[in-house]
Amino acid sequence: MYVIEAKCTHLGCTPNWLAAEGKFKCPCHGSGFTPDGLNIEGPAPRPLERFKVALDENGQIIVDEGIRFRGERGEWDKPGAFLKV
Amino acid sequence: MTNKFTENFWAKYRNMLKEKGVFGMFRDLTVNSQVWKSIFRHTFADTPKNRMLKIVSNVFMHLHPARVKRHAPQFKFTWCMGGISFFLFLVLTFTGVLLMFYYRPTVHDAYWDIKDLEFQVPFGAILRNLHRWSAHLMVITVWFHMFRVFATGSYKPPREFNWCVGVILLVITLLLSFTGYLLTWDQLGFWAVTVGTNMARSTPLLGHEGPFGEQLGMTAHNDIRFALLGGSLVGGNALLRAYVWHCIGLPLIIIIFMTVHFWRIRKDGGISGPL
Repeated sequence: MYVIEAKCTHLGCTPNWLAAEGKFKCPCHGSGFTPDGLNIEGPAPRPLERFKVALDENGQIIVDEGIRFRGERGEWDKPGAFLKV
Repeated sequence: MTNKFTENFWAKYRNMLKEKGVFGMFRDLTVNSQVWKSIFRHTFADTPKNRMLKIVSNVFMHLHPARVKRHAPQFKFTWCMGGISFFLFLVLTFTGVLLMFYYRPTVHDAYWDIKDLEFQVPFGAILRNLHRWSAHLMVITVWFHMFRVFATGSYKPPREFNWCVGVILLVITLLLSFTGYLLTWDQLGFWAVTVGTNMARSTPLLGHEGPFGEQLGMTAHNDIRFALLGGSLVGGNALLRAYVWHCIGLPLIIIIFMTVHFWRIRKDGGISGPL
């Protein structure tokens, strides 16, 4: 499991989840992203960023918006970038 | 003593009335009064010096050229695009000031003040739409003006400096349009300014994602985008800054450059016409 930030990597608008097409689509300039956040169309230069995610002692999911992981830098495999379910 | 003075005083006017009649007397009294002389510093004698002073000492006359070409500006040559752009600027200034009476640039009020203008304020809808459509039109006429000047070769020496001033005026016109966009505080303007200011991230040297920005210590909290927004995202500070730039900063700058632009037209040989 991972946490995607809904902020387009082109110029910062909020991509919508289009269930029928199975992708994220940005309303400003049409960038498209796969469910993983990979950029597949439009002007976005890189994948959507991910936030640090962890479990606390009660089993609650905690997201740290201050720490980001960028796919194009190979950071999605780092500890904290995802939770094993 | 007092009687003598009063007698002389009235005698003067009686003689004047006898010599010049009612209108002549009042004209002389007006023209020789201190108030009149403080405003108009020349006589009406038809001398070459007075003819020149009539123009030079009057700010409104002074705006007109001392000489015009025989053919005068031709509409089919100029399209009057510069003049229409200036007229639209005046319309925008006038309607803009009226709009300021009804608009508060705060996150809490901005959107609803626009709604009030549309639906509650008497003549508010026409006031706002005059401003909105004039703004759209001014961007278009400024581009057409630029196209006309290019197509007729009017950018060539000695007018090359005025072309550059015109380019600055074009940029300021677009910036005025852009800052006005945010003031409605609706989704369209919000995201347009989000996108526009995110571009400033990539500014060379001054943007934290631009070339050499990182090396110069730029972060999201001290770069040029932060200065534009008054923060790291589009919020109340950005709205206030857009408002101040839109209503005071940019109009002042554009007036300065317009003054130079119009003055240079005359210095460069007048409005260009067919050769």
